[in-house]
Amino acid sequence: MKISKSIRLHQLKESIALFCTFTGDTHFLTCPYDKVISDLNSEARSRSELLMSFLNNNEFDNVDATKEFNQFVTEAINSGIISE
Amino acid sequence: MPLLINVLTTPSLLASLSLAQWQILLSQATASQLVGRLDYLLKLTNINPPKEVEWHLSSVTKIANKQRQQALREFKEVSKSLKKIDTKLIFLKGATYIAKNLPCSHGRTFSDIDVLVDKEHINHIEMVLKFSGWLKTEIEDYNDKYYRTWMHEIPPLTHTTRGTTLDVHHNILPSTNKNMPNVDNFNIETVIVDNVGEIYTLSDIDLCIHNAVHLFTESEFHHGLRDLSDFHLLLIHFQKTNECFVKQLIERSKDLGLFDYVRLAIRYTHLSFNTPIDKVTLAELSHQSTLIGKLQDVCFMQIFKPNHSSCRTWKYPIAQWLLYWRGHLIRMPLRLLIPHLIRKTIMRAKDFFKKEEPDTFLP
Amino acid sequence: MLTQFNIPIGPFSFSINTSNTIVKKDLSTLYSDYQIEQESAFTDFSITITTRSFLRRFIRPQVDFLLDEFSPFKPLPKAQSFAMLEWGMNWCIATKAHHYLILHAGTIEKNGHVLVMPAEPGSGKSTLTAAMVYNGWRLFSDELALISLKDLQVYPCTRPINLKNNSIPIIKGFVKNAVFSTIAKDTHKGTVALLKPPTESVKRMHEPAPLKTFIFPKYVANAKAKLTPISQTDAFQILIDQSFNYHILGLEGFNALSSLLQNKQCYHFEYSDFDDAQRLLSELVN
Repeated sequence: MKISKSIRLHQLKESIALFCTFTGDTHFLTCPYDKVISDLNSEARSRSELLMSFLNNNEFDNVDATKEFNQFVTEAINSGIISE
Repeated sequence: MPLLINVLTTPSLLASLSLAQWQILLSQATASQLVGRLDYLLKLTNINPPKEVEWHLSSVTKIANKQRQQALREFKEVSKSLKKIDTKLIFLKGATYIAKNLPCSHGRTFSDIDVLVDKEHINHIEMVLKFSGWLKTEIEDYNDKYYRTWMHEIPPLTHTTRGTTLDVHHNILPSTNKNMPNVDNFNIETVIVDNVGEIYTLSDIDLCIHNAVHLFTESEFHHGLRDLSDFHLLLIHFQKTNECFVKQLIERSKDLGLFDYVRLAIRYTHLSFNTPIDKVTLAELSHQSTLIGKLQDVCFMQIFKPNHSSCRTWKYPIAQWLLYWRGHLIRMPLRLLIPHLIRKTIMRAKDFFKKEEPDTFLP
Repeated sequence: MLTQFNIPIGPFSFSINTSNTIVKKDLSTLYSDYQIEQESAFTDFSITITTRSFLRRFIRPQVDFLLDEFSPFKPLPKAQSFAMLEWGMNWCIATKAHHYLILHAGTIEKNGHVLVMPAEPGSGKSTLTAAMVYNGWRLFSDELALISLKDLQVYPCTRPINLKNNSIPIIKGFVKNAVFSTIAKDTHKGTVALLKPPTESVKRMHEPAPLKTFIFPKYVANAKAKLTPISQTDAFQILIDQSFNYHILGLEGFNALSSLLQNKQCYHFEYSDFDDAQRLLSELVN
């Protein structure tokens, strides 16, 4: 998975602002999902690597957190933020 | 000839205009929705406009670019919404120019995205679109019926969050015209669009024919000059890679029974913009009936001019009126046209006497 | 008699053509400090205030606003002629000047620093703007913040201030010798009048200045003036909502707002008393 090539990022104090040049939409991602995007921005990762990083960085309970992570990734793909 | 027409014919003239001429040119271009095209021609010819004028041009280009981005998005979104329905989605007119990245698409503004679907699925399609956030623009019941029966479209749909307007057609041309070929007679091709994938459009020749038919069955010509200018740019572009393009265009239009519209389009684009057409073809395209031909020339050469006081003559409103009737009669038989126009007049009169509500202003 | 007024307003040149007596009178009064010229080399917006329909000159008289022969609005009652002109001029800029990021905001300047105050409901931004510019601040605009996409500076668009309903008597009381246009009743916003801008602000209409920060004002009866920090994320979202052309500018607009918010703290601003408000806002720009 990687950040879609239509996406431009800007780091704000408390979030990442994203602009998708294909859809014209602006998104804001706060903690903990801003870190997921930062990770992907440095290099492409597999879904499982990303999930591992997400769980470790945030010390979440695995079951619920995994579910939320997957929901986030689905939404992000649908919004054109991430591509597989 | 009005300044705008001269410039569209010979873009290099843009290099030598005074500020006063730019003032007139911008007024004429704004009235004709061609400001973005001027900006495109400036870039093509590498000419810089005066600094006072520059932002007027680039602002319209920004709007056109935004609309292009919206159209590209809708190719994807509409295809996605309707993927379960067994219908080809054929994008038409301005949307085609964008999909094929044609020169006439640059700087060109438009209001709606036109798409053609199978007639037998139209009700299902309308329902699916409604559940995907596309709502009918508010119109009176009578106009709703007019769209469905005579224009063979669903009334325009606007997307609730994205704001784009979609015109869904189920016949490629206004139906009461007795020359009406079916959409199955037209050549469809696929175009690969970045970030979107495959979409369907008409072939190069057929999209020119479609432009010509729409232009010469119109009753109101708010976009007349713009559409003729599109046709001019299309011919120039396609002739670059195919010397025989115009000949093939004429042959094909005869096969479809639409030759007369294409003949008019070629004639008037050549008369207005000096579109390069070989002499033999031009001679073959001259009018058969001299009287009607002369009247058409007078009317169309008036209407294909900017509707602005800097170049409008007393002939313009007369041409408008004559062509209004011509367009309606082409699309509707007289026995239906009269009641239709009476109803529209009554609706307009009712509007006049209603208490005025201002449109939403800025504060 | 048709009269033409060629008026430079900040970066734009307007040409106003009318025989309408209300408009001519209010233009002469409210624009008396402007450099009104006989002729202009190039006009950005050529406006006509007239009545197009013959019947409507006599039956329920109305006026039309035309931008170079095009009428973007339905006509309004004749008594609202001048207000219509001002609204129309705002529309011209907000729908066409896309070399600026344009926000719906009151914009004021002091000590070379600009405060942009986006106009959320209940903000009272025009009244607040009017009070501030007659109390030590320079008027950039009560409606339109123009932020250049080239240099990200804020550019003045100095014009009469649009006040409505209770704001009119409030400002009459607060500003000595306030000069108003003809009052228009029963508009879609209630009773409306325009306030003449300060002479000093008009003189300096061609001087841009950098943005200090965004303030989101809210009038709260009897409240002491208070600034509460707001996150950059929330500020960004409100600014998108309060912008006229962010959706047209696309990436350019996104980059502009991102840069403008860089290293800036934005605030919610509660106020009721103007002197109190003025003191607190001045601390921000000292």
